[in-house]
Amino acid sequence: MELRKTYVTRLFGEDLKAVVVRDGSGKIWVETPTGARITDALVLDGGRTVSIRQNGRMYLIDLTPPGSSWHAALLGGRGGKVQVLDELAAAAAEQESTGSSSAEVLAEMPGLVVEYKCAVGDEVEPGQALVILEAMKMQNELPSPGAGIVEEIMVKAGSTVAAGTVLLRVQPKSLETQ
Amino acid sequence: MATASLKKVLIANRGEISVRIQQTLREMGIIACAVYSDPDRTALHTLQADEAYPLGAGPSSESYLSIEKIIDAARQAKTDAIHPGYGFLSENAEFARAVEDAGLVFIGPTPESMQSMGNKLSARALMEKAGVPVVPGNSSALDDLPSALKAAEAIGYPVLLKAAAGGGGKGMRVVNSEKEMASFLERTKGEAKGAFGDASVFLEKFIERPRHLEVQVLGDGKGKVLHLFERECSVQRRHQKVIEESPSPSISEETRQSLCKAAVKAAAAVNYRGAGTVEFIADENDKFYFLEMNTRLQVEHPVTEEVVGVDLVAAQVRVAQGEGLRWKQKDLHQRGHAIEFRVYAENPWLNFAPSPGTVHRLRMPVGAGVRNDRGLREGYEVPVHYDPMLAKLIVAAENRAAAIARGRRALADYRILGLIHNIPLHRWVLEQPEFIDGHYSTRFLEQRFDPAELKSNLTQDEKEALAAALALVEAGLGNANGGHGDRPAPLSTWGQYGRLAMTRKLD
Repeated sequence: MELRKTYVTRLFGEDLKAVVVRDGSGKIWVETPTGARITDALVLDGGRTVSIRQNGRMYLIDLTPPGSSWHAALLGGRGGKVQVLDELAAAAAEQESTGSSSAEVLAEMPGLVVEYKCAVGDEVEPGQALVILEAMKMQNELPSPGAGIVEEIMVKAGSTVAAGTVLLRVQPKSLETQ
Repeated sequence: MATASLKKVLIANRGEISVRIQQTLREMGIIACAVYSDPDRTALHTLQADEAYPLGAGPSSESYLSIEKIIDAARQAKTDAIHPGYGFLSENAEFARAVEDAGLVFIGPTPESMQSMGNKLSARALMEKAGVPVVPGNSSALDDLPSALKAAEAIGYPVLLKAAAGGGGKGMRVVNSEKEMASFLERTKGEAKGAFGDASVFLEKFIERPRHLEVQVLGDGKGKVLHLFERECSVQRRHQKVIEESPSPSISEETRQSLCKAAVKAAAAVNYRGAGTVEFIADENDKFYFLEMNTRLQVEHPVTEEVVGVDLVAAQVRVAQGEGLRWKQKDLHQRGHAIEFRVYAENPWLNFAPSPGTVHRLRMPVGAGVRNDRGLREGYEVPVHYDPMLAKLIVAAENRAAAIARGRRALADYRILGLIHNIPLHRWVLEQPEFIDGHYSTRFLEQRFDPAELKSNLTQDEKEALAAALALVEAGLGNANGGHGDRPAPLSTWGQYGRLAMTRKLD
């Protein structure tokens, strides 16, 4: 019996599909959307490196180790942050991301919220500095993601925040500006 | 100072520069003592030191900036001397004095020359007197907005707002209009106060399309000053250097000579002792002006070491031991070309915002002409308290074209996974005609860099290989063996590890 599972890799907003196949005799290969069949791929260093040989060409891929919270893949030093999902999970994630209406301003790095340059109810322009976040000795201005009204400020000035913390929400002015 | 060889030295710093200083000390048979803050107990500079002494909590003010704690550590370690590295207390005259008062040797200049060069305002005045050209600007600290507006008007916009006690590009902003002055003055003062403990700021004429040139100098403190030629440091973002090279590709031999002469004059004016750097900016007509003197070892000192063939830390230690300088100016030459790439934990896609995290995977380039000065290791969590520079890659070759080729190769071999870093930016720079031709100003990145250009360089085949590799690891079935005939390949140990990948969390 042949077993097939499709994975979706998200790299820089692009979805790359790959199907892992295992046939009745235990042979394993990977199929790509262009119809290529990758039959010689070695998983090395505990899943941190993969060597692929395809038509004689060698591809050396470095990955973050299994179990780490941050996923990245590099080939020839190029590539970047990735997300790997099976097909079902990828479809679910797609639906979720189109559902939200207000835009969030996130702390992209851990740091200290120095000051808000806006208040709830303020009308703001795209790119306007809304909050100053201090990290690694630099004061960083975080811009508004679009034109809109400041809906909610979630974290008090003076607080230390972790990366990814939502600092405030902006309600877009109109659908076009989303 | 009489000759007295040092047996044990405390390095009042952290990260790559502490590691680099330890290397030379060990080569000289000197015991290297590190200091560390709580989060740095697992940092490379602590792990591989001969001895290490704790300073306290993470924030610099409670650790690496505490004069008292560092002197205490040196007493506890019974060291002969303190090497300050760069940043932190390296240009703090009060610290140098405290070191000497504790009966220890300070590996650096005298507190007096630090003081006269440390404040940019007093340095300007001193240089004018010594006949070194300075940038047009105001020569006193600005107290409030009206006086700043008045001074800016006299100089003419755009102007550069600078912290008098600043350095390394911190506490500095270009101001284009009166409106901008209103919003930038208080913030720059605030940053200056926070970073240097001194809120005074002043203005200089902003030179359009400037180049940043600097000259490495060594003084014996008894009147002898040598130069070790120039470095070109014009690839910058936010007024901070990212790539430095030596020799400068943009100046004539004649300019090189007058630049180096001016630097020697500047250092001699303060009877300089040890290693220092005289920074200049040059305009489009190769006219250059004194910017500041850094009275310490510079981040980019390795490019000079590679080209001139001198270990600057060893030279510092020998001067501190009272041995003086072993060269004459005519013994020093530039051979070949070196380029340094600063590897920062910062996001080139997001306006170079700092991007701390854990280094899950690390592989550094090796081979002839490749040097890695680094403070990171695999498994290292980059702390948020300090500068985001992780390492420096230095490549050297017989000429500039070969150095660029070596840089491209070494950067392609470099792997850091687990946090966002700026290696993609370096690789982009090495493909730009302006950089390859050597005709670039400090505004090069600001004007030319587009993060979108970093994204598109994987071919379709490569993307498919990448996706296949991830799918395979995610599936946890081990190797793809479909090409090995009918006989199923036995599951290897690695394959079993691959199975563990099934438990990998997706978030």
